[in-house]
Amino acid sequence: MHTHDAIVIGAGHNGLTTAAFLAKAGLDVLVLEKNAYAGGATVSRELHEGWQYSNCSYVCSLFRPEIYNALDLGRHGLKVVPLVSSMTFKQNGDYFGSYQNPNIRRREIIRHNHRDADAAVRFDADILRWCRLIRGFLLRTPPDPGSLRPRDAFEFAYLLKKFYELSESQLYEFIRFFTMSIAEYLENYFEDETILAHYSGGSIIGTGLGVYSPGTAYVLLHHAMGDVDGNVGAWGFARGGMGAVAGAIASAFEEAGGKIRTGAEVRRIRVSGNRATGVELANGDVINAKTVISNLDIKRTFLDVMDENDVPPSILARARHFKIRGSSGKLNIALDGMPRFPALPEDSPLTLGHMHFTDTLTRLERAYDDWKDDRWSADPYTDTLIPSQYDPTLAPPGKHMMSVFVQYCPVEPDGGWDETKKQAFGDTVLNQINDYAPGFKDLVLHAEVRTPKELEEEVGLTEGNIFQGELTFDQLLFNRPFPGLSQYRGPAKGLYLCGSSNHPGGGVMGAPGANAAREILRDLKRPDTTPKEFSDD
Amino acid sequence: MTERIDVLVIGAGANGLSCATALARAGRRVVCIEATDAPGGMAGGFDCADGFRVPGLAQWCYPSDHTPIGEPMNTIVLDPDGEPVTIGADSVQGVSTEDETAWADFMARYLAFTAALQPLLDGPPPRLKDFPAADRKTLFRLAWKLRAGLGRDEMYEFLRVVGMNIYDLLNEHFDNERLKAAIAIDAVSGNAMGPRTPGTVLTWLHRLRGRLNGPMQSPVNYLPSLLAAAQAAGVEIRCGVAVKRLLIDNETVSGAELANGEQLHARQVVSGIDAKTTLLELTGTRHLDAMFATRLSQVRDPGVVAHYSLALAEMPRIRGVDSRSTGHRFLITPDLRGVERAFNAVKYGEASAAPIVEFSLPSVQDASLSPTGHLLSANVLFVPAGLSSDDKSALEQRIRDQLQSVIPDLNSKVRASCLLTPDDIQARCGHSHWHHGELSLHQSLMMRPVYGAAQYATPIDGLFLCSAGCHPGGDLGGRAGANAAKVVLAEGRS
Repeated sequence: MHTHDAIVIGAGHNGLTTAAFLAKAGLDVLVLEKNAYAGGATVSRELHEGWQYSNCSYVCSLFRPEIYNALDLGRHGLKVVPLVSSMTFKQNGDYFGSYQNPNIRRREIIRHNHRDADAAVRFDADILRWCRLIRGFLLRTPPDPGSLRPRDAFEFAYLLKKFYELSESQLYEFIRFFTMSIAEYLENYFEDETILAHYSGGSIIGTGLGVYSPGTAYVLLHHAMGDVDGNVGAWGFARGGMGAVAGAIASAFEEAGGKIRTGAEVRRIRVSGNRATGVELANGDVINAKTVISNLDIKRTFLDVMDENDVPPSILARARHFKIRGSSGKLNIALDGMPRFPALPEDSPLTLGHMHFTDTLTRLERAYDDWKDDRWSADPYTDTLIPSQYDPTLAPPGKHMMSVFVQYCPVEPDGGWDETKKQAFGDTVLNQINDYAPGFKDLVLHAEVRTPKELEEEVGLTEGNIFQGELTFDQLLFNRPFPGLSQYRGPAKGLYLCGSSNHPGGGVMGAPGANAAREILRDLKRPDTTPKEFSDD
Repeated sequence: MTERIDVLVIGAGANGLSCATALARAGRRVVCIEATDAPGGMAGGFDCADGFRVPGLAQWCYPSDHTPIGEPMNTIVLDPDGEPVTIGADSVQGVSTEDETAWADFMARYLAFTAALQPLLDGPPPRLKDFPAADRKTLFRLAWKLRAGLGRDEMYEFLRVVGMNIYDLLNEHFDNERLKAAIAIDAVSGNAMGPRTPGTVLTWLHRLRGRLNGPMQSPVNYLPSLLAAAQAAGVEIRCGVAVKRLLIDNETVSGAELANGEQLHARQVVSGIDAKTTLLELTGTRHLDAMFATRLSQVRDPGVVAHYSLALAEMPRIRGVDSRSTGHRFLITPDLRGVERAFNAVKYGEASAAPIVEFSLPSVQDASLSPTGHLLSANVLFVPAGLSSDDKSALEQRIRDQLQSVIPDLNSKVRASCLLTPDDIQARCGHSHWHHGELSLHQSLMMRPVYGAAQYATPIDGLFLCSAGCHPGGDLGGRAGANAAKVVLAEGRS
């Protein structure tokens, strides 16, 4: 029977990234995917005829340019179109727009509060400084604080050196930033309620935390440190939807000789004598491999597809306690035409970017309180986008595709999800949009409503957590997924982890996948095909 | 002719007095001035009614430098419909056997974690860059205690939990909701935090620091012994003396101008009142760096705990508690989620619909507090500042309902009541926050109250801070005061 060099379980963007780098190093790699399509949560799906939904992840900005270049993803068809504005509708009929053009943005801030315009200059500079600091750690393996090996000591020294490039007060400012809530952090800069709410939103996306929860300021970075064509903080749409991201990586992987098998669900990782030997599929087939790499989240890997006896009890316990909470929902909507927002001037460019309907911190925090009590937010925070304005491949001519990310949505409301509750959740969101775009509901041809349950069932993300684990400060760096397991190696020899349960975490970044590949190639003493140098702009 | 004072300490609260005592013991001539007519600050007593004296705002304390180990005080979590959960110094009763065992293991582990953090929790907080040798030693001791003291696996566990919230941690270990709620309350009380607020494991470890000295005990003897120590050391306490402003010349403090226009001159001034008032009001922003002043003004310090006291004609009967156990600390709280819900309200400036009540009967320890009856003293979470009088009476009714649910014969025994909201506490004690500032991560250690003044010295020469707003916070330990004294003495030598 054929023994593969490596098997990757799960064809998400990180699994494919790991697989591509291994294949480029000359390994014989097989990727197994339970669904009939590859991509995991980076997919484009035609769920309504003529429309392409990026029905899970929906924007592309965090994806590391080093990986894009190393895998030559441009040639494999990935094109990212920058998405440059964002806005918040106010309840009083006004709006706040954060424009790309810095002069217009400044004038817009002044329209709301003139002092905030100066604060924005300080804020932008500070955020950029933290982005630059953190970005240097993304494509590196965190040191293990329990290890005395020279390699870990060196990595700690590197971390310290980077931090000690900051001045003493910047060091304290960074710790404050790392541990503060986004609301309090922004209140140190801004005064206007709408501006505060507008810039807070990004920090709660995907997290089971509220705007006043300590640690959320840092999450802002996870949404701000991306770049498109060297433009730090810019967001982008992948042309053709998010499936184009996975498609391009898959294409690079297959070009290097790798194979993807869809419809192949893994039931068990086979371990013998503390060494991973392959996998057993749901249909009973056994596939052998010298290396097994799991793109599944930590809970699914250790508690689901591994035999309990193959995992040390301390790791099992920590995997059980790993915090991975579903907190988000999503609506993908086929529209008969472009909705009209009376608050905006005719032809405003703001509909091209992120649109939000939550204009105070209190509304954001109350939405969180609903979730804590296992209800969906009655007045949810949404990140609404209409990408078909840029990308004609997503909807038929004259029609539009709308993506609405919803924070918060419980993993399980009282009594569990059923069709009625799901529709009620969807209606809450549609009604909120309709309040700002009268007639909007009449344009809706089809709406796919997704709760954490759908995300878990389809993609396999535990509880439907979009980051494969909360991005709170207790689960970052060498604490991700937990201390002692932060170097992409599983508890058996030849077993590796490459999902975003690992450093540096979620978002369509590809960094965990590349880092895992580097560690595997290192153990196999193969040439390193992963990007070595962090490319700063 | 001006009198000679070495150190002027402003505010005779727990930390002001601790600091003054340590300085006087080192031979300084110390005068401690207090704006109100009696020393104590939040630890000071007041009359709930004629002949009913509340000994202070706290219901419990841990042994400290000035308070020897006394009778241990259990925490009894009451249940209106059943048997209470009793958390003692070494065991817990009223829970399942699994929880009993889990609690013992849990406490042993977390006391070990607290002991490992001691270098950080006890002394002046180290700076992180350009630090003196002593700070390097502190950081090294900390690293050593964590790595070698705990061992690799326990260090991993420490790293995993230290940034977590107490809600998740408790759910990992226990089933009993009242036990979980009681521990969560210890983690959050005094702060505007709920059990689900990240960082509350650390606030709990912080509180557990006192437990290393001995079991929880009644605070009735705290202020008397502190005052006795101050007196023995030769501290002169002057009450009814308020400071109008500090005298600053050439960025050096030379004393204080009092409300009555008099001036007191001293070589050094230590402020036991909060940093915002000390620096922004009494010093004045014209003497401060603009960014430093901004940081200070942004210190988060909302008072969220009310105090409620009742003068009782006789000893009430507490459900599930026998008459010999009335000297303990009682909690009224149903479950962990109830604590979080109670916290939710205060975020929006409202008082909790189902407030959490922590109470004790101080007259059991000291009968002289209420010779003609008994006294019930309670802290109530969560209550914001700015309540209207209608809100206040509605809140009082809710507190009474909570108490009534576990003390069915309460109403017939009440002679008088007194509710102090954070506004009232502010007026009485100068501040409404237990620690003069949230003990959140970004306001802890070398960032407490703000960096630039975290090692007790301020940018003004000769002016120091020693209040609970400094590291390591309040809770009747007096550590901030003792630490400040060390810094003041070191400064005086040079």
